[in-house]
Amino acid sequence: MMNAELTFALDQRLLALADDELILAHRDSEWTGHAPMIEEDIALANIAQDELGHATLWYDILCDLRKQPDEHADQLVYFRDAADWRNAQLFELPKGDWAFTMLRQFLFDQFEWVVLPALTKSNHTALAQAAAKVLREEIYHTRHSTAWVRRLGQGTAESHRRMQTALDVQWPLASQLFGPMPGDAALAEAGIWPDMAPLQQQWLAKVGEMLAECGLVASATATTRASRHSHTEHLATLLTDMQSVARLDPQADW
Amino acid sequence: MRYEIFKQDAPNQPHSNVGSVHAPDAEMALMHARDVYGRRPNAVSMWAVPEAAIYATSREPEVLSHEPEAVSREPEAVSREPEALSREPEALSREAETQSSKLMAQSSWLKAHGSRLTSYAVFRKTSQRRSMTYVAYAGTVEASTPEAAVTAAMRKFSSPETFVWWVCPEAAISKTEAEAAPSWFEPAKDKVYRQQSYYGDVARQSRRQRAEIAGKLSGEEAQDDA
Repeated sequence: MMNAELTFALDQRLLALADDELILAHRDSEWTGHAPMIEEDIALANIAQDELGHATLWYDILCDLRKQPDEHADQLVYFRDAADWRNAQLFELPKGDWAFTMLRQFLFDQFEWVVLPALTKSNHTALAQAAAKVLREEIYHTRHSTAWVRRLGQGTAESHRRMQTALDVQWPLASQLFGPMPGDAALAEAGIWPDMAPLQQQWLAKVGEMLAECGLVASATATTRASRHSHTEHLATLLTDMQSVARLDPQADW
Repeated sequence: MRYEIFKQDAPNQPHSNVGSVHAPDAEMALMHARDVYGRRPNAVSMWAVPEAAIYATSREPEVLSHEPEAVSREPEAVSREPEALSREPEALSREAETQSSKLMAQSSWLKAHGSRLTSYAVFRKTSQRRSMTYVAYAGTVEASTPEAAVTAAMRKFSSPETFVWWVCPEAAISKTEAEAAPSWFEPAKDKVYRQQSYYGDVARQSRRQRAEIAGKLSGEEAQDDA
């Protein structure tokens, strides 16, 4: 049985991860019908659908944890205002160009690539099982985004310039992914959620290797101090778009 | 560049051509193939072969000319699009020029890659049934030219009757890795919402719900009457 402190800490960790997946899925889905070629249109729509599915897994565990019969994933997604979302700002930024979208996906895929294996060892059974399921799909995701970062980063002068421009915007915000949250130490102590600090070092090494291979330069010191409670104006716009239909008739049966 | 994609549905079945994807290289071609042709379950492995590495021929072109579907897959036909058959003669000759330059490009690719005695993968179409629209993998032969590979294939795979032959150097095939298969193909099995039959069930269910409601209503009416 988890005490109140642990329960709250896990609640906030799950919410952050689920919100990251969901907002990223929405931004990816905005490419549907607009990707540079039909094959990529399908690929990114697939990936968006996957991230949406992963978000659902985390929301479901969260709702079980909260033990409030009326609360379910749809409600968290469609009837929550911007101030209550806990996604990192990186994911709410508009989709930008293809380089921007591929780099963002790459940074997140690499994040999952180091965090999920640690989560599969969690003492929280449902969490460990969900992590294993998500990890299986991430093998494909990481290959896809890595392939694109490599090709754009090492491609033409223009594709390289676009990648560097995307990196300049995204790099400071990416540090938010590993930002500390209340109760982290207790969660790690209980073997429920891994200590993020060593995982961040692994992530930096993996990502840094790829950036170096592409001649892309990440500022060594740029980090954001923003907490997951603060958002850019882009989140409200995104939510208006995403929630508008569900809010037309909250009682509708889907 | 265009890549022809071959999909294997189960370990004991041959890789069958399912169509093509455009990609800058083989790695991307396989990734696209996974998304385009592996979205729904029934895939355990995929191969990608650059179009230029494939030498294709039909044994009996006159038989194929009656079969628009087959003509469209038949490389010596004027075009893969059946509507091309009704185009102006001028357009047809332009198409033919394009075709012949494509064939030249193919033969130069094959010269560069397959001039020695080498192993060729053989694909063939043995049925005109709709269920077998495209060629399926038959096995390999050793040959020094693609033409010789077809001759060898005709000897080695003499039965059943074959309508279309495709050969390519085995080395030109890029394959999905066996260890990647769980990540590439397994998840599609859980995604039932991608399957047409899933929506059939939904329709059946709502029909049943409607019937239940109708039954309840008529039951209430019956009570009212009583």
